[in-house]
Amino acid sequence: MPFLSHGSYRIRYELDGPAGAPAYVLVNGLTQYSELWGAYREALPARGFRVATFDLLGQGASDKPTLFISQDDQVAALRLLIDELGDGPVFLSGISFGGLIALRYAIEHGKRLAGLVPMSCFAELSPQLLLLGNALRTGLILGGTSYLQDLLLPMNLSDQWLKPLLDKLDSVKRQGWLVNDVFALQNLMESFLDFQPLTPRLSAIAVPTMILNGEFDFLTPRGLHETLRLEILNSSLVIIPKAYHAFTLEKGALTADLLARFADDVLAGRWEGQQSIWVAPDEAGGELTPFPDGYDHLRAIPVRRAMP
Amino acid sequence: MSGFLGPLDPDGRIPPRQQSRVGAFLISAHGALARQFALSLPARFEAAWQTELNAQFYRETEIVSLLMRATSWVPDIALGYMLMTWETAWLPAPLAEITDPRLAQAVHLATLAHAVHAGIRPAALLPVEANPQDPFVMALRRIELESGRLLQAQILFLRGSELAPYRDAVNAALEQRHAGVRKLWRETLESIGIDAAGAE
Repeated sequence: MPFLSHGSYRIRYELDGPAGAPAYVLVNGLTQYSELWGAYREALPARGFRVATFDLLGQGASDKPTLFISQDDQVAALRLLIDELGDGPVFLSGISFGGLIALRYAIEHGKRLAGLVPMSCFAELSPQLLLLGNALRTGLILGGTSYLQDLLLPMNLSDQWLKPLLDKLDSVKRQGWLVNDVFALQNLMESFLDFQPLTPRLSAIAVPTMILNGEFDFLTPRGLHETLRLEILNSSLVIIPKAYHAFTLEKGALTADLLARFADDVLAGRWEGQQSIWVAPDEAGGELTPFPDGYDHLRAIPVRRAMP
Repeated sequence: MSGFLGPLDPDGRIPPRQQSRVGAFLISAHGALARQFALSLPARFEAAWQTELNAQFYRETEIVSLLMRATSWVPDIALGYMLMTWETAWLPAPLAEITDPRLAQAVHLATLAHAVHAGIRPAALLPVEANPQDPFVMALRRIELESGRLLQAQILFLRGSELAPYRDAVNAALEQRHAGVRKLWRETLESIGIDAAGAE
């Protein structure tokens, strides 16, 4: 198990796929750990990519700072990992908290990237997200990691995914419960105590950016992704049908396919962002469809977009 | 070496020798905290935060009482030496940067309590098959859950404004405490055949 050193802390990472190939770096969500990218570590190398995964500071097998974890340190750790990959093209993707860290990296070191894919992501804490985050933190403190997982699972995954697992949820939760500690998760959550919105800085991102958002994402709904689309000029927004916040877990094959196609298009010079809005196919390999012209993609019912 | 307690007996119980070592370690650590919280308790409270001291004292005492009764004890000749090592480790470690002895003692107690509550996860040692009706199994789960709650007082104090001028020293002392407590816990677990790398 290789480690990077950031000051006195160690960051655990894994590399898969051919050295020298264009690389995808995948950044975990707040309660995740790098093994959850297992499907991507198979699918993306099969499409000719190298894949780098790692545990953020405070997660899994990486060191867990005891009292504070700063988001600056997470960006620094990500930079160390990307530096490990050499000079070839690097595509950076992250989900939720990991998407936020990816955005910060892209703002500060965007020239190093060939492409960016924020997923289930946000650049600011809307009142709903702030209050949900506070409630989740209280849940963690009072009920431990297991209770936090109990809150997140139904919020972030579909009935179709949950139904066959209802009588074995403890085994679904167990690895995450084992590798993540209450104090470290709390430190990760409380790294938002001095959070400044990234929205005013998003326009610094010039790299091709594909924003992925689940159709039914409750935790980070469409409006938060719309902020990214509007502020990042070279972007497109892709809505994943029937998907919730944790679609990288639930729809791994489709998401890996979208990541590979985006990178292929960028490398071939075919990709055009133009702040366009798309609907992803239901399955990997299907066609993306433009969001119906004239309709408001921020609504859950078919309402015509108000003319400016 | 397994990362979990066991092998379990046919009723899903942890081997008594493992129970004795784990129980003794936890009693030593939480017992030291109970004693030190007791010494910190004023006869009469004059500030709201002192009510938390009272809660911490009684929760630590409860943990000791619970383990004394829930553990299946067996004679263990090595425990004498181990206990001496553990008890020595819980003694106050001076923090040169803080000259106020009252504040220095409070920082010592908070860093030790943070390291024990955050760094020791006894329930994570339980295999899936452990009998949930067994008192020792229930005790480990209860201690881990309660530790997460007790920890909040240490986090608030160690991050508080009173210690802001000593931030780096406090952070270093806390990291050092965590490393020390984790080392003792790892050695204890290794002595009963458990690979503790995943249990810290």
